[in-house]
Amino acid sequence: MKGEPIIILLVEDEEAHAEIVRRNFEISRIANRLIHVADGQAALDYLYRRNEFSDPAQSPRPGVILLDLRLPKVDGLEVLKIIKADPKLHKIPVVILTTSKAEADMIKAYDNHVNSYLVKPVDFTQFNQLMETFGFYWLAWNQNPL
Amino acid sequence: MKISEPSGSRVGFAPLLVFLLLAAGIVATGVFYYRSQERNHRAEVERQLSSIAKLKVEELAQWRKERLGDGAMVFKNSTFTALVRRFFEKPEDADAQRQLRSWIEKYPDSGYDRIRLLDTQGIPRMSWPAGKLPPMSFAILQSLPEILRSGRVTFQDFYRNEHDQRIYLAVMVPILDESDANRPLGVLDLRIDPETYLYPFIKRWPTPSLTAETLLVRREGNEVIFLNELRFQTNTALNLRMLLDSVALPAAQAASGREGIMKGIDYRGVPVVAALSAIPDSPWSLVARIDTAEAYAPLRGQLWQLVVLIGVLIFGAGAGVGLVWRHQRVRYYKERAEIGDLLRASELRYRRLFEAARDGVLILDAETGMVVDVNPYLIELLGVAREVFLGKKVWQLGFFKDLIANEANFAELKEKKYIRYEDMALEGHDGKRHEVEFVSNVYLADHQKVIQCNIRDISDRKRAEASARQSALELQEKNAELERFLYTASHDLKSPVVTVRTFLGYLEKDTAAGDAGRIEKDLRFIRTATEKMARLLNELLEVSRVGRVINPPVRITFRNLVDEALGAVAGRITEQGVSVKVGDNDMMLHGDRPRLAEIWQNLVENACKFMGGQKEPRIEIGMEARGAETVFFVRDNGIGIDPRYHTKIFNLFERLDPKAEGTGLGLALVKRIVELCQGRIWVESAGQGQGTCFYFTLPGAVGEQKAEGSHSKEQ
Repeated sequence: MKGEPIIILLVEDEEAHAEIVRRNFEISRIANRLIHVADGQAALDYLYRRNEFSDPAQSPRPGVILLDLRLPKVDGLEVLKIIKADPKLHKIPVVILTTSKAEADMIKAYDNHVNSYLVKPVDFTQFNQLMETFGFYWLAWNQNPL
Repeated sequence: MKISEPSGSRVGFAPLLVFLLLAAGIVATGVFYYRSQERNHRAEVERQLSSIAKLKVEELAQWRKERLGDGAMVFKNSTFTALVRRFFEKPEDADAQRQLRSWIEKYPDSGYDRIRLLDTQGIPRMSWPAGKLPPMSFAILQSLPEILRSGRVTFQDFYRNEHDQRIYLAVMVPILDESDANRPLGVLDLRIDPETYLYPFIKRWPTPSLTAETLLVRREGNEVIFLNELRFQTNTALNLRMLLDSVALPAAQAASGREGIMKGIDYRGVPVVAALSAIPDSPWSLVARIDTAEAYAPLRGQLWQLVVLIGVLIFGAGAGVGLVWRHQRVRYYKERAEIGDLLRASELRYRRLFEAARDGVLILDAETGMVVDVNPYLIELLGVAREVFLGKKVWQLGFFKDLIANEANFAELKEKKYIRYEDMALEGHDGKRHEVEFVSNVYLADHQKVIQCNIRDISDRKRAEASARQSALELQEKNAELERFLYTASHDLKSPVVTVRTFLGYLEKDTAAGDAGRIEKDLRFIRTATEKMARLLNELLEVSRVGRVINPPVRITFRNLVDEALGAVAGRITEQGVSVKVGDNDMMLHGDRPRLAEIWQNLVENACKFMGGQKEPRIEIGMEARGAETVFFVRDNGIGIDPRYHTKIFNLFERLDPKAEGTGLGLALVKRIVELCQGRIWVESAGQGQGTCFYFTLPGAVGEQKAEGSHSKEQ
């Protein structure tokens, strides 16, 4: 706990879902900074500091990535593959957050070295609990090498 | 069916051999039988001759002994001697004369023809029968001194009386005066006429015979003299003489002292069988002989019978063998004819098979590779005349270039003996390729090695297989698509549910907190999510109906279709101020009218959606010919699509821009409709801001139209 806010990169095409995540982090008292991109291409642009994210000051390295699977342009799984294949990026914990409970998706994600796989609960309370737990786990307890 | 090829000689030779063997057997048996018969007969003849000879010899010897015994009656008889002395001293002594005559007269019973009493000078003093006393024969006188000197009763052998020229024998009894130191007084001559008994006895033969006779001979120096009259020659007694060393002459051999059976040539020069025997205590030898011809006549008769029998047997054997041979011959030719018929029938059957087969058959000479025969099916299949095949080597034909391009390939074919290729292409005369199954076999036919190639056209099968593969592939694709559809549908439908549920929770909280700003925000999220859900469900329904719900096909022109589509999206076009230009070309299309219209409707809608900040938005709709195809296009000058996403965009629920309206079903829908018309759809775009052009083909709708068109013209 260095007091510095942990940067969370949220890759989510559904605006509503991004709002849910944002609200949860606002409620939790963990110091963080949520950066939201709406598609896979944008996420990669951010991580590689391309196009609109080319300014390193504006695009700090995230402490954890929350990644949806079904994304426009570049699929979430594809993004995961690129991150985990890149030695400069593969230490960043990637947590899948998706509506898909499909086994195939889960296996593919873990095959590509995902750090955690979370399914969006349909229930309001459960979603809140999940996000709270996620916050404590990844942002408070989990130690990142950076 | 195999029959041995009969050479004429082989058929003829066996029976001939059998016949010869049979004949040889018959002849050998005959000869053996004849030989044994001959031996038996000869033994019989010889036995007969020997017994006859023996009988005669014994009788002759007995006869001589009796004669000498007759002589002995008066020999050294003192009474007789005294009478003789008295008579000689006193010839006129009548009493002595009378007594002497009574002595002598006792003799005639014994077959003496004349008995004489001689004095020592050989002068007859008394004779019986009484009569004139002729002078004595010289032969008697000559032997007289010897007889007197020997003082024994002696046989005077056959001699010729020179006075009557007759032949006689005599028993000479010397009369010796015992009272006067055996002084010879005279001789009693008991003369025997052989004609009375001896000659008939000798001549007599116990069985009737034409040539048999008995000869009595005696040796005189180196000559043999015949003592009796012969059967086949007159005046022989004491006249016929022959040399003793005539080896073949039985008489000579007998005179030389030989005894037993011999074959020889008799005095007539005729072959004879003879039994020789010496007569004891005499100079005589007896020959009992018979002509060989007669002796063996029965044998000859038998021989003739035998010859006739053998002849008959041989003829019989010949006839038998001939009959069997003829029978076999007839049967053989009959079988041959039957086999010939069967072969012809078989040949015909196989020929029909060859000609009617729905497989190509090619027969090659294995040595040269020359085409020997080709069946009509292969000719038909390759579409060339029969003459093209015949007289060519298989690698020169060109049809089999994949398999037998040259002589080396052919040698390999020959080497392997059996080859089977499942898929081989055969190019016909018209350039049409046939998928064939090729099987070749090497075998011997009529001492000639041939290669039979069976060629089965399996083009149809291959087509069916390819079509089945295609169907399977399509089915697989459809399945994958369906799976994707289900997955995305459930996933994308879940997403708004999560949104609604969560924001309802926030709404509750915010309502309780009375935060009006938040409440409004929550409600907006909920509304958007439900709207999205509704649209999604609508479009899903739409997609599921494509290909499932089919409107009856109608004929409609390209322009009419485009107009219809533009009508449906007219509001949007006007709103965005897009100028739409439709090409001048037109053509008749045929198909599900509302569905076809949806293609252009969706593409135009899509183009409008992604115009971006374009100041002069333009959409161009048209068609152009590319090769044999008619390609339709919808072009815009909007934001364009990154080449990376050119395939992705056609996937279900695929959206490049998360903020863009729509569910990502539009292009997937278009793709499905195009595919239902057996067409393709693709996008061409240089990239971001370069505009987009969707191209697609509709062979189903165009092709149908063509057929329909021509049809309508006919009407």
